[in-house]
Amino acid sequence: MADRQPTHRAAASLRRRILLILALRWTVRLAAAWCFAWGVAVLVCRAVPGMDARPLVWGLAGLAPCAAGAAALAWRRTPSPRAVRAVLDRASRSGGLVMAEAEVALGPWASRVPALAVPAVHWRLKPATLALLAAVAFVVFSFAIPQRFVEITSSRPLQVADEVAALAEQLQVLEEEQILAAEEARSLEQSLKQTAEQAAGEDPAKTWEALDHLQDAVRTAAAVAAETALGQREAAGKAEALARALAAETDGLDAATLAAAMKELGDLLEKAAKDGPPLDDAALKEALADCQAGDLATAECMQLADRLAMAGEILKARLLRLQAVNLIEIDALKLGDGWALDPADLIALLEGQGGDGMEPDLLIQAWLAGVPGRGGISRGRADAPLIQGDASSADGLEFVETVLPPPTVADLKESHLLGVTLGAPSVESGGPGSGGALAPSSAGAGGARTHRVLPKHQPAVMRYFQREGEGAGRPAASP
Amino acid sequence: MTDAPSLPEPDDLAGATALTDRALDQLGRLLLGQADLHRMVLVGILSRGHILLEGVPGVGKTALIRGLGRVLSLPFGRIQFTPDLMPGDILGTHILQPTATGERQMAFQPGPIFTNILLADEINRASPKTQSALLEAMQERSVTLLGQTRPLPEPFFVMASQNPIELEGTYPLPEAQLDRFLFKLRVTAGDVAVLDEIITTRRRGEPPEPTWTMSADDLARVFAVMDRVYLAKAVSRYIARLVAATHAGAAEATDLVGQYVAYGASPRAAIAMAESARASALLAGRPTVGFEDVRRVAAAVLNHRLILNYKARFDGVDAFRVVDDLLGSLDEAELDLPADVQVAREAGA
Repeated sequence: MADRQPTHRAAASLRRRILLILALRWTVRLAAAWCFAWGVAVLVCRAVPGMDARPLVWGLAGLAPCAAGAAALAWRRTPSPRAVRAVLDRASRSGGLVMAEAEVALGPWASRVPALAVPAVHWRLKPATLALLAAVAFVVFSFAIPQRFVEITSSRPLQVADEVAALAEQLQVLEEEQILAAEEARSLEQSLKQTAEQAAGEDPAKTWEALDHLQDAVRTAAAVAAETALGQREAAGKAEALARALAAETDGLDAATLAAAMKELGDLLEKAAKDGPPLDDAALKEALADCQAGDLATAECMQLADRLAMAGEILKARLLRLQAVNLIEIDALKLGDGWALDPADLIALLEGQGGDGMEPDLLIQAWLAGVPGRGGISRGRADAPLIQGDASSADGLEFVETVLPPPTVADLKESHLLGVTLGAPSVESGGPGSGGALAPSSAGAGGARTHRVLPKHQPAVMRYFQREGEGAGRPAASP
Repeated sequence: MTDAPSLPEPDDLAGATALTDRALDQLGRLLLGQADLHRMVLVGILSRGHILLEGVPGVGKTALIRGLGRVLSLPFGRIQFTPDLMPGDILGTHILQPTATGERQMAFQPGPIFTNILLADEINRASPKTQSALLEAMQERSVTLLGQTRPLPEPFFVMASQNPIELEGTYPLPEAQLDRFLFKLRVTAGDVAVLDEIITTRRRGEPPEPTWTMSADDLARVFAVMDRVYLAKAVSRYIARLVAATHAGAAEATDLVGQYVAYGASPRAAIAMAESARASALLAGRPTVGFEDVRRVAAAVLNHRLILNYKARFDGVDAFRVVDDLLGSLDEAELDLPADVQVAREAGA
């Protein structure tokens, strides 16, 4: 009713002022909360691998809803016009006249309404402003912080240092022994380094799988190299023994034997040199050529033997080194000289002592194979080969069918418990056997039942009596 | 009483205010140094309420009430309450009287309560039975005897006094009766200057005769103006909030209320506060009630209606402190703003 009066304008002004302050207050608060949430979201996106935080720049647009929400909240909290008039009445000390103006007609009292001054609206903005500034700084910080400080790293990296060190050492050995090519070794080392760097507790399987792969690679290479080295060493050792034998008995051998020996020596050298160093140097190749030509002198044989011995030691050292870094597992027999040959044995064989008239090349091969060619069940060493004689003939032999006495003991499956006694059980005497080899015997609880020996059982029975004949000298039955 | 549809005319209000000012001036002449007390007593009279005066003997309680009756030109009756006082001594009784024809019949002999201003001196010395005889008279302004209800003269005021000391042999007023008193006012002794003036101007303590008295018509005119004093809705809500906040557990109750108040004020207190605030506005010469009027009468209205617990007695907390705490904590305008936003109480602050 008094909308056009100054008091109404003052009330509207105060209400707008309060609304503005409240809107500003809520805007600051909501903006601060939004900025904190925004900053957290940015940090999370930057920390999680594979997420791009750059689109979150659009979070700036979230301030607009904050302002809208603040306006709505401020509108809800804005005092009613009646309350605002009460404030004006109180501030102007009008004694209720300003309040009554909006409710009743003041009449002559309208002129006595005092001039109103809008009271000030105070807002303690310092805490809210500080919070907003902190929130904005947090957002800026979340965008500006370097990526390496944001990335989530495992607080507990996988402990693979020992494994990596062992693999690095194995790789170094393989590279130094030229088992792996330099380029391949570097590639493996790079893989190993990368695996060690990326070893994280969150995904241990990945690391272990990579380490297993590398380990398999180096072990495979080492196994192949060890196998080759063992072969080379054995060939070198045999060639050395043969060379020493030749150096000792070159003069006492006939030409054929010498040629055969040279040929065998050449084959051994060729075999050893085929797999590369240390048996492929120029001196050994020259010796190989001499052997193939059949004109290897005694002194050259000795030199060759020394060279082969040295090469054998090199190969042995290589194997030991591989074994030292757990790349291979070689038993002592292989690492030792279990295959070592005695040149004196060959000399004795070649001079006709135990050769049994074999050809020289066969003798040399037998000697090289470690088969001396002598010995047997009643003579020689245990490793002497079995010598098969003429096969026996079963022509004209026939089996005599006999019936075995039936057993009186009932089948165990068909037995049943009759009782328990402390004394010896009473056993019925079995009936007499109906005949056959076991007829006179009264084994067990009675005589054997008679069974027909079927033809399919005959070989077993025959072997039984053969054993009996050899041991006791009297077969139980004659075929 | 309903809100007036329009405000009193300025001339009417000025005339009423002039009358009340003269009455206050006369009261001030009669009882020195008690201007605030006189004002509150006049507010109570204009509110048609009963007043309980509490004070030690000799501070002028009876003199004030006697002087008020003389200034207002209203019949005045006094009852000295004693333990053997009976209800009939107050209300009146039926006696057997011979008629002109020689017959005898029961005739009602009105008691001293049939007056306009009743001074119930040392009301707490009467038995509860006798105190209760005043209940109907104070609330209904009528007396019922032998099934016949007799209205009391209009206006009717009970001005009771009680001595806060010498409690032996007294009967504390029940809450129901306390609630019927509009105000409970404390009468205190004057300061040195007042005492000096009393000694030098009053021989034997007798107050001077009033030089002016308010006629019944003047009083009726003042009542008529007061009925048109407007109570704005914001003020009535403030009164309602204030009374509601006296109850522990209320939304706007203060910690002090929650801690010390056993029972809060009744709706009758809100009515009394509204009426007395109107009277206060009239005395101030305003046609509308302001928050300051409510604040001025709040303590007098509420102090005898708040029932404090034993903890308050132990801690030395009285009702006045609780009311002061409520007045200090409640925002009259009920802006309901956040704590960090405030509107200055005065323009330019």
